[in-house]
Amino acid sequence: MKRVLLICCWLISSYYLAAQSGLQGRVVDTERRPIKGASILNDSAHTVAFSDSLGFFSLMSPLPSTITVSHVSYVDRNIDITQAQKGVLEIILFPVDNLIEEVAISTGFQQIPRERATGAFSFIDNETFNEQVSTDVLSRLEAVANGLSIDRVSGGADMGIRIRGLSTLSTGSMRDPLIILDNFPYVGDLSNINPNDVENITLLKDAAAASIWGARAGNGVIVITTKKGMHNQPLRININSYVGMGGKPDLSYLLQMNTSEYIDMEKILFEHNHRFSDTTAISRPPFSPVYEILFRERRGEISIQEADDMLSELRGLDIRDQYMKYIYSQSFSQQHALSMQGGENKLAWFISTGYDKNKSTTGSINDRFNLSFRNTYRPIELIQLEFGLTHTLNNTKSGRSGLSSHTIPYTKIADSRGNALPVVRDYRQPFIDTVGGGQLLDWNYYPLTDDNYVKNHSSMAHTILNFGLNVTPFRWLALSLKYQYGRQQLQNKSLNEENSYLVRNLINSYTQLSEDSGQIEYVVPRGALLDLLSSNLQSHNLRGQVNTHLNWAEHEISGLVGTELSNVNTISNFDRTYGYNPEILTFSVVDQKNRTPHFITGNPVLIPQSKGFNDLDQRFISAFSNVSYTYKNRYTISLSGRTDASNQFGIKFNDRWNLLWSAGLSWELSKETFYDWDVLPYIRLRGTYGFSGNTDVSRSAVTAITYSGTSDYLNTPMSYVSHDANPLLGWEKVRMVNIAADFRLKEDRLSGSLDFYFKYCTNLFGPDPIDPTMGTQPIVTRNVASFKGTGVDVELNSINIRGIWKSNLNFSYYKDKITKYFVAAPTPSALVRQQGFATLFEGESQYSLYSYKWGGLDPQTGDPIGFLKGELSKNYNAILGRESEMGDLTKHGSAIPVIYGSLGNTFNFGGFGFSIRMVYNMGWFFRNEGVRYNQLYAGRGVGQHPEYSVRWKKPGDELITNVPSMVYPTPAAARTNYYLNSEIKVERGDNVGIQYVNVFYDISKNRMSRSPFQSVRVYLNAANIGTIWQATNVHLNPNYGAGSIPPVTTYSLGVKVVL
Amino acid sequence: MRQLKYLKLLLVCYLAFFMCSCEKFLDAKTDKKLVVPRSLEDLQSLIDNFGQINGWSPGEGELSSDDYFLLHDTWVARSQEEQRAYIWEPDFSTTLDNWRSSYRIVYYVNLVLENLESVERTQFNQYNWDNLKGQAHFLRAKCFLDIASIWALAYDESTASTDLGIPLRLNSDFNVMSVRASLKETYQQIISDLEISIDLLPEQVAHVGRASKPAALGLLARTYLFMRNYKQSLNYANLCLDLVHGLIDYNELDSLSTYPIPSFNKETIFFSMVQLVVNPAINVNNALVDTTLYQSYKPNDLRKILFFKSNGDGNHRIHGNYTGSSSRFSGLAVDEILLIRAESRIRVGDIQGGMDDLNHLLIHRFTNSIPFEPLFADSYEEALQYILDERRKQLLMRGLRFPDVKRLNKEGRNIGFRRVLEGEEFSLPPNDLRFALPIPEAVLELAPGIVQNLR
Repeated sequence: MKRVLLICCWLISSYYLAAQSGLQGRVVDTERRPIKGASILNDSAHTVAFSDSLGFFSLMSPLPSTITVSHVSYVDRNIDITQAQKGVLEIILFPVDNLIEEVAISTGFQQIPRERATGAFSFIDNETFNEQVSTDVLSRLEAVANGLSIDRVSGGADMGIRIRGLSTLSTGSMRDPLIILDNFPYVGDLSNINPNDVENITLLKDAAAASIWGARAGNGVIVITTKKGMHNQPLRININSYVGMGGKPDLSYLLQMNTSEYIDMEKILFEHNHRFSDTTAISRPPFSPVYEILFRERRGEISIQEADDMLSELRGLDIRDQYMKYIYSQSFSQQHALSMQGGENKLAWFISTGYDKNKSTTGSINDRFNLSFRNTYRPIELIQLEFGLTHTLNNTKSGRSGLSSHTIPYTKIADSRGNALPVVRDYRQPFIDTVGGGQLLDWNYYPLTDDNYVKNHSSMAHTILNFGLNVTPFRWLALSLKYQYGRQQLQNKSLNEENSYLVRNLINSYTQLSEDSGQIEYVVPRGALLDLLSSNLQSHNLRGQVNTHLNWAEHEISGLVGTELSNVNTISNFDRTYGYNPEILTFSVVDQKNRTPHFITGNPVLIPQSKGFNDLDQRFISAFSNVSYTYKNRYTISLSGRTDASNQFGIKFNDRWNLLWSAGLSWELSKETFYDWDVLPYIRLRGTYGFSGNTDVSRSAVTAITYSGTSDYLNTPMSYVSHDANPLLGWEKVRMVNIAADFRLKEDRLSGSLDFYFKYCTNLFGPDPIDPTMGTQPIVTRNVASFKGTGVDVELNSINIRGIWKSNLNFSYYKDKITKYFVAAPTPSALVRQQGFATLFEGESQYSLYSYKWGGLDPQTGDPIGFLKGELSKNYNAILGRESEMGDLTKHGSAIPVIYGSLGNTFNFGGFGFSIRMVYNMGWFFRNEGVRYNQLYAGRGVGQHPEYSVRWKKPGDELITNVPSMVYPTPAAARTNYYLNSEIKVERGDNVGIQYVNVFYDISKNRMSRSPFQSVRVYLNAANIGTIWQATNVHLNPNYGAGSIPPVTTYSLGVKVVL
Repeated sequence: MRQLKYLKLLLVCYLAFFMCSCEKFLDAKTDKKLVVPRSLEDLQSLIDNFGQINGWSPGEGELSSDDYFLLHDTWVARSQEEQRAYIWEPDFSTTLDNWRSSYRIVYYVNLVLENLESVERTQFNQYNWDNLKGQAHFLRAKCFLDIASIWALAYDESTASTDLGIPLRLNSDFNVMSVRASLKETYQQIISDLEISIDLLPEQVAHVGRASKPAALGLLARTYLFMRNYKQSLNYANLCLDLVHGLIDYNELDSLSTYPIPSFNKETIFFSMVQLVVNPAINVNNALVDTTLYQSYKPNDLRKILFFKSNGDGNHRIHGNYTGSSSRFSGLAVDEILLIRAESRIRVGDIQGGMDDLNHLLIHRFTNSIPFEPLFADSYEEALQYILDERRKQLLMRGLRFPDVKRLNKEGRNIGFRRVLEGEEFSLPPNDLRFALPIPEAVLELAPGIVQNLR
């Protein structure tokens, strides 16, 4: 819908007889503030002018003619000048964001006007994207993208980004959406993209939107469109700069026991002679400091009083205090970006640079430098040449090791003067104090200073080159050829100096002491250990494409057809050097063939080697087509198809191809003549059906072996069977139906879209367990599984107070169910999975949470009681094993959020702006942590939980606590596993958090009329503000669980300047 | 019109070219390390994979034997399968891992044998070709014998054709169902594989990690001993000892060394070891030598100090491995073959010959600081008892005790096992059906053709 343009002209009566006249004008916005840098083009005379800082321009213009006034932030206007004018013509431009329906969405192949798109797209404009500050691009999506969620539960080897849930049962990169940067799949490290270069982002959510990307689009597609220069545009300079800061992490989040209780627990274990047999073990397993004190007391080396004094000194310690003081610091970040763009009739250009530097709370440093350059050259009207170059340097330096929950709480890393203290690690402290009679290197581990001797440095250089040629021989036909070359070189350097524990431990372990002569031989040479890894990733993409756009009477056809070749090649190698001296670059050669008796265990051991080469190659050939036909501007039908072939190993050429297609319809109901409902001036219905796919190219159709090095003994190459013949393995298919409505209320008060979708994923890779007697790998992957998912995506935009308050709500619901899976649940108890593990069983969602029924604590012993076949039971092995029945379990629901989304509110008043964005994750459950006695007794700090202090201690306690008693001897692991997987440990995960708050002030142009600045914005941003509500009252953030400390709030202060 | 024709021709040519170049483009390997095994070198590399081929013998037999015991604390900390195996529970007492890893070797070997057929045997490659084929047959026989000695009952000529043997996988096609052969077929397969390999294998190899002719002869002697065909075991032990006969003089070993017997020593004929990750119960920290067995070593017997180390509380850990490390040896060595010959000689009536073999071994085992007193036996039974005792004392923790006890009980020697845990007693009486360990239940779930041992 286009608004009527208001043109105000003052005509002062005066006549020019000449055919040409000088046109004087002023470009202003709706509030009549001047707009600088608008281009005013006379279409017939090819003259161009730009408005100055007060909005004025002058242009020679023949009469009659049409002028086009354009500016990036405003909607273009065509104005017919029919007669000569006296005085100044005032032209009002309307800002872009008032005209949502005008947005063209990019699929990576073409730009589609949103009103003719049949598929499900989600669009993030520049303004929304820039409400957040970050070094990378993708982390901003969670808070603002519709239908996208971040999976922190099952994450691991993948990016954790889900568009409309999962579409595969496989793990790893098969779960990742396809990321497109401008025209081609992005290959390389995603942290290399400079967010300041991003113009907007489009999510392709359904099959019709994504099927143009074919067999790699099954998980959805994220299209990142970068900024470009435009023809006939004056020079514009953009500067964005911020500095940020964040506090130290909240260590109280760690599940640590009270120190005094931990010591008392150790005393109890000591009284039971627990682990005394370890004192004679060959491997010299370590004992905690408390144990060593108690041993000394028992041997009579110290008195009971002395021992108690030593223990009470330890009781006052808390490792978290020391880590807060010595290890953690505040985080700092900064980002500076400068871009320039401009263009005349033949050339449009854009150049930008960026610099980022981040220092984490553990002192690791990341810095990045970006340079990008994009040019469009139009020598003649029908030919356009494109050239682009992006170069990124990305360096990371390691910091210190943070604290984990698995640390003995009274560990002391520094004395009162801040000197490093040794901490027990691999061997008994008294043993390493005396072993070797002082001839060995210091065998102590000092966490306080160890990181000083460990230097991990990675540096990356990434270059992307683009070439494009567009020929438009006719108005309705365009041919384009695009080529992209990418190269990312990564160098990882990990230097462990001789003083690092790793190196000292290694040298000592291999040292040979001759008992008679006292001769010392270092089999692992002294000096540093250097590990180098270099990896070189190269990608080529070549695409030829024909676009057509025909328009006659009430018909409109647009279409494209093309082919593409792509190739991603990764070559890497790694190597280790011993005895390295970084000062003078010398090194030693080590014996890699002969074994040496280990200093402690006596086992013959080889010096660990790390050397290898890799060469991976992924290739695709694709052909694709997309056609849409619109009739009367209201009925649109679209068809799209793509076929891909890959170089999967062992498949014959003709068997490689795989066709995926989709079709869609849309109907703009509000354009019908019979439609006259004023309340809803715009409504459009659309529906699509189609397929997209997913594949893992690394699989093989034939039995293949992989070479794995050289045998130490035989000195001949070794190999193993890496792929068992699997000729029938095909590509996964995702079928999706999407039915949706886009609507807009009167005066845009409320607008948005509502999408219902149903997806059916078939041919999914699933494990087919093979009889172990066959000798093959335990599981052969076959296209055996399928599941269906249903969901709703709602996006609502409202103007609550025009010009002052806007809201944006994203709401998504998604649920899936496995309809076919090869492996049946062997027993009901198999449904009880650990947090983050999928319940891959027929009839279940991919992530369902089951637990064992809880029968309370045994009033006599404090043992947890479960249910076995409906009866109370303490036979934990049977409960966890095959004997329990469905009735002994409780089903809670989904283990990942079923309902998720965000709510943003933006306020503008005067020059002030304020936006706040909340994110919610609802309808799910998670498992709380608890004390793990069987691990706790190992004495290494693992298995702690503060709930230890409220454990069952005496009969009657079962009425007030659910924490099982501490028993001796070591309870079976099954007792702990039953307890931690019982229903009392399950909590609701629902939570709402504030993702960011952004406040800005625009210094108005009026106030700076003499300054060169067109606009200046000062902003303050707070990110990761934290949870404001959660359903559970346990001291855990459901999104992060016990595994990691949630990110702390960071504050950034920045300025954006447009010149 | 003609122009259109040319255009068509051009289009066809273009498409043909495009398809050809596409095909080439997609012929690139996804991973350069991927190889379809076709050459002798590729196939040899599969069975030179030392870790998988030589390092994965099953340890369940040793786990169920009586040369060692576990303290209660140690037993509690073991996996459920190990705990159950230790007290001879009739089910859920063996893990999938050892079964799978033994059959993985069989799978590799079958792949080698199948692909070998497509490699032409020429005058240039015949040595390697034959050698590879011989190694493959040897390894298959070794795996089958290891599996049979754990998961099947002892061989008894009178019932072997009906007793349950093991699945004999003779090709790599995993669409062929696994079924258990009879025990007779099992042993016949082992013998035929070994007989084939004897003619193909070289007498000497660069490293004992690879099979050799003496290894095949020695394994055949062991096989016949397990079958109680002592005439044949004598025959093959003789043939084997004709080729290899070096014995280590234990006086030359350093008893202070943690693992005094070096690996790949001159007695070793074929090297393999038990994967202790799966069976930690029998590792050097957990397994303590049976106290009666320990007492039975004489004070001047060097094995007493070389094989055992005190753990500080009066018990002894077992360090005497032919691996030079904490790993348990499961290969073939001259001492075993010598003991096979000694036993076989006595069994066929050559008592003096048997005792000579035994004394020849023992003189290398006893201290030379005092004169060695040779053992002397008057009767067949006394001689045999000497041999059997020394067999147990010399071949400790090599996976031989379990099949030996099964075999000897077939002759009425009535050897039963007994364990005590916290006062509770468990026993495995002679000739109990549990001497064939349960096939891992997880295997039965996936292989409908395999039946469980009688319980």
